[in-house]
Amino acid sequence: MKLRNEVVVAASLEETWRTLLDVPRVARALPGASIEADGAEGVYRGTMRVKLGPVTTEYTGAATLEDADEDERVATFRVQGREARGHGTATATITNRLVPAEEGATRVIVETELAITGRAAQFGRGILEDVSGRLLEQFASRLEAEVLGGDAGVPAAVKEDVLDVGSAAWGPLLRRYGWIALFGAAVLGLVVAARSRKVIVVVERR
Amino acid sequence: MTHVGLPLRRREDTRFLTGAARYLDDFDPEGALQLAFVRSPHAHARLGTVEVEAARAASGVSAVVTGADLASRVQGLPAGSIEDGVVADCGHPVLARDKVRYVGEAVAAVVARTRAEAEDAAELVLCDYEPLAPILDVRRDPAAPPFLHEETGDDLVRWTRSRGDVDGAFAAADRVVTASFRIPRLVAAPIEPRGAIAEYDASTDLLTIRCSAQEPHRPLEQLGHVLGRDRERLRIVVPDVGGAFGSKGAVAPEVAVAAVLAIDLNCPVKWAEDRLENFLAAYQGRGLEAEVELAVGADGRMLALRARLYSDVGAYLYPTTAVSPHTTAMLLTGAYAIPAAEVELVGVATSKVPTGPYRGAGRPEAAYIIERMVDLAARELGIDPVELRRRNLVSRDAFPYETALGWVYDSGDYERCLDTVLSLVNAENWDDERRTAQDEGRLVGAGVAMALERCGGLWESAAVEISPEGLVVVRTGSSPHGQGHETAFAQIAADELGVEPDDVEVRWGDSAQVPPGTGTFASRSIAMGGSAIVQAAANVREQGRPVAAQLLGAAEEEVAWLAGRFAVPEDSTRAVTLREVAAAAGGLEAQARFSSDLLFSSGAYAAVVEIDETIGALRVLRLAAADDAGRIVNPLLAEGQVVGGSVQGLGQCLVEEAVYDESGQLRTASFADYSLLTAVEVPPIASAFVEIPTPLNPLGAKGIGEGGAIGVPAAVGNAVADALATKGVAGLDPPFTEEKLWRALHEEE
Repeated sequence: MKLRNEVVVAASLEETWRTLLDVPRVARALPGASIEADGAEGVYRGTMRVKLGPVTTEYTGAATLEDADEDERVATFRVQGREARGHGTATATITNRLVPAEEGATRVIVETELAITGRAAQFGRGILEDVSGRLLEQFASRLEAEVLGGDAGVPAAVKEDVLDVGSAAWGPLLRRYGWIALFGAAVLGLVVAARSRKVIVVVERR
Repeated sequence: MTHVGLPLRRREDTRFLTGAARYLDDFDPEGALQLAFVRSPHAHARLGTVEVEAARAASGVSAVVTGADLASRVQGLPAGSIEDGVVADCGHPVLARDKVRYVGEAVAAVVARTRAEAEDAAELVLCDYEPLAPILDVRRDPAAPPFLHEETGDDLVRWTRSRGDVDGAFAAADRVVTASFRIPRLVAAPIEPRGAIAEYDASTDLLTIRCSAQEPHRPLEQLGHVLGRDRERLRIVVPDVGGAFGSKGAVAPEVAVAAVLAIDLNCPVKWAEDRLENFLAAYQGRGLEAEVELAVGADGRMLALRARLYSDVGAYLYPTTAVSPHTTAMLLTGAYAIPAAEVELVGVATSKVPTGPYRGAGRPEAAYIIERMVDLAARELGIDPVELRRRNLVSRDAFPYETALGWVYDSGDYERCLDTVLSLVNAENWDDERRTAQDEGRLVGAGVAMALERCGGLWESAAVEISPEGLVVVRTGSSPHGQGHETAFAQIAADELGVEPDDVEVRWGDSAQVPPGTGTFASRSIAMGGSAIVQAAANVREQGRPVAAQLLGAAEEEVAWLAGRFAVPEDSTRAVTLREVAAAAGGLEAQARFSSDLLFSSGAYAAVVEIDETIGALRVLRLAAADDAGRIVNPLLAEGQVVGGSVQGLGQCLVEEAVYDESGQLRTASFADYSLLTAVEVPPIASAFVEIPTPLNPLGAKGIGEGGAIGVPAAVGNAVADALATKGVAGLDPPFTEEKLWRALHEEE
């Protein structure tokens, strides 16, 4: 599956490029991801937690900076992951191309070649594509803070950090399932209110 | 009073509607362990080591087994066979070894106290996969080395037949119409998924399997083969079944795993699959591509047909996988007197779940192909499609009619079906409707199609018993899964025995109790199972005749069976019921086994559709069906079958398609992505019956279970092509989604 997204980061081309090549910093900006260097140059191991509706899936795997073209400002990462529990896999080749945007900002064009197996693959292409745009928006604002704020820009990734595709998918889901989604939201709201718990309810798989 | 022919309401519905029915998952034997499967996430991969230690150590787990563990205990399912065809020895394995060939293929099994524990532990099984390229397309270079099956090759089914002077007919033809078609894979999607409970009694070495199945006979035979177990040591019990539509005819390989584990652990083992498993691992239906040529004369006579069929059989063969495409091939001349035909069928392995029979099972594909061809020929020749059909239909005085491809149609009146459906659908208004629509900027089309339903055949048996106390019990080898067998069989038995339908108890489903049989499929229960009941009842009467003569003080030859009683015709006061005879005789009991050649129900279907040009949305305005299923035992049930089959056929037209992505992942693995029709999308359906009894059985009955599923896609396909033709756009293949229609209307250049 091919995905294409664009984000504009309010930072210079040079700053954005340097941040982009600093994989742990990029990972910090990626909701749900935590990464550490593997020792081998350009190889990072880490985990990514993705919450799709009620199902939270943790992927463990490795990210490799495959290519960084300083002149063209194109960086290519290869990510390979496997569900920490379960049998699904995710592999992605992510190509980031930086071009100057207006007022000293930088446009990041992200092309992702994504192959998913296992349960996540059966969620349907529509949702994954719809979701990726919202995901990139979150990523962009966090990356922006990272670029502008340096190391102090965003707090270190917290343990409970999770990419909540369910909430990112809210718009598309609502479009698709209409009143069913609204009904579900109403019920969830009542349950949350009745129990006076935090509004964000993370339901682990089963 | 006769009950056959009356629209009696279904007696079983009380049980179903009040929640008193018991489906497989309602049974929970004490101490039963629950089974879950480790399934391949890859469409095609080499399978290395399968590490199960972590799963074995997990909470609640009793056992974990892999394909290697079972290698000496089981063999794969039988691959089946077709007449004059070559079917590769490539039966579905019980658990994968060395290679996985579709997403969802079972690799290992975990049995635990609860299904949740079993699923959790299944996630801990570590499989070493080396992914290989998936192969999804059935059209490939025949010279290429096999992708999936190195030993047998990837052409798992091969069949060709040529009858009559095909080349001569094509050479002499005035026109040759050529087209290709693609019929997508469909999911049967019964409300109740598959499942089984295996229990083993070591003291008698009896393995009992409660199984959600279409009947006990095929699970008995197939599990006997897979487990290498004598059928005397195997008992199959089929409880209430929440739908099958063909998908529970061949036994699921998972059931064999439950059986082995029940023996090894000496406790009941239950497998009740979830919806995701059903989508990924239950066999799908259809999946066919065709290239077809039809030779026609200037007068519109069809002279010969040539076709190449590519069946997407999937990764392995179920015992019935080859049957559906073979049926398509044999039925390709449809309801028409086409004197010559040449058909080549190849069933090609792909890295997808196997296919198998699904309501219609090859007949809808055949009807769709030939009926679309007839409309194309009509357009080519400038002859009205209905008129072209009239010129070519097998005529009513031609029966029994042997087709060019060699099947013998037993009975029918195709033109009467056609006339009936045209009047049901108000075809005389079609031209006005089209014109009005055109004036209002709407796109309306109409289409007709003939439906041929191969049914009956083989054999079925029944036992009828009247106890001294007067209890009437019919035990049948046919088995229901939603059709209403209990009601219809009680009607048949009541008439034959001179009792009321409510007096008749119908028993089915338990191989230890019912007489042997073939199975519930191919719309054969009334014709075959019903006829067996008629004959068993006749045998009971013959058994009772001497006793009746004694009771009546008459000679045996003086006694006649009249109006449901034994009587002496000369003296109306001397009569005795069969129950009275049974009481005197200490009970009566007889069996019968009935067999016959194939039967061919027929029908004509019509559809009127409207396409919203701006968004490509298809609305089916109305459907009509005129079916000849011979003598109708219960018109209420028969109409229910027509409507149900039509709605499933309509689903295939509007939305249904099993979609795989380029890596072989099933993208439609839930009801969010694979939608079924609801009542909202169902148009008015007018149904009528043309009753031409078959001479091949005592009831004169043929089959009605699949007519709607056969006729509707072809009629709607023709109606859509008709609507598109007004815009100069060629016809399309189903599903007729908004996107597909919009693209056809707006992107054709």
